[in-house]
Amino acid sequence: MGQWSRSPDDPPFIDLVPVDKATGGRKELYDALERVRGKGRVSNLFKAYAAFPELGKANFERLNVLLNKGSLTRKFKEGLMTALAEVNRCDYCVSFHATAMLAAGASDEEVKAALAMDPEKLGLAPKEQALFDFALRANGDPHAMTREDVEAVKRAGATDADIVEALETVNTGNAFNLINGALNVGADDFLDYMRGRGEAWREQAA
Amino acid sequence: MALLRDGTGTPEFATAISSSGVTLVEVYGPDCQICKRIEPMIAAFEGAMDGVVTAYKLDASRDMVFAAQHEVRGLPTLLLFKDGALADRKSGFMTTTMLKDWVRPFLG
Repeated sequence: MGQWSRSPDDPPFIDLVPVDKATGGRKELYDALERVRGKGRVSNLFKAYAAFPELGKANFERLNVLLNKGSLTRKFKEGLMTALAEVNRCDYCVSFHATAMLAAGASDEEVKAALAMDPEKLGLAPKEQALFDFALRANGDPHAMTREDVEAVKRAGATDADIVEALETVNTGNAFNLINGALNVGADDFLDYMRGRGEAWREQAA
Repeated sequence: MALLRDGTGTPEFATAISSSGVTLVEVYGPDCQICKRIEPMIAAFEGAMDGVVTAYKLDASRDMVFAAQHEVRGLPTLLLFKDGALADRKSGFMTTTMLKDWVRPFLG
């Protein structure tokens, strides 16, 4: 199964090797994922990354640092990646991050707010509301950002580290969206949240 | 993500910008990357407005007369029409929050 927004008969464009068939560096990556996420929870994104295992491991480490270090909340980061997935029309990514938002304590209404790029309804503290809009602006046109934009989020309470963390959330979301979109990597078997949205995109494009 | 209606050359668009109410127009070009990134913001903004604002996109390369008449100098250019007249304009990327802050004073 590829992206829901494409033909349902169109599989991913590269081989996604199942867990029980993995060997060598690919198996090492899958083992690392299962140690963190649980047995069988090797996402299709990382099955695609496993075509280049060292890069897959580096990106998994990057994701772990982003999600588990720093001071911004998991709900903020997953909410921002949900919004980016919507911007990038990556239905697998919308499904993954919307599910992660719920796991981080968000309500269905807050997931809808992320999809509507509405930080005021995300249930975030003022600092993270400001950073959410700042990050979306940077994603839209990074070279249009100004010193005043940075000063404004600092006045809302953000530190330099918070700003870098928010921008790296954008980078990571976009990087993963690109791999999934370009290679038609579809949602994992354990995810079907927002399937209808992907199917609606396909109908709009037809 | 809902897509913006493409009003380029359509009678519906001509009617919308000359009628009562508030209409937001994104003047875009097919090769404009920032235009692609602002489109979901405008679509989300329109959805949040619950029918109070109607949004369209218009391809400047296919309607150069409209672009010239409205002095479009760069892409994207956002034109805000109220009650049949151009009320305000912006250029460059804006988030949904920025769009709300911009348009709110023109409502009501």
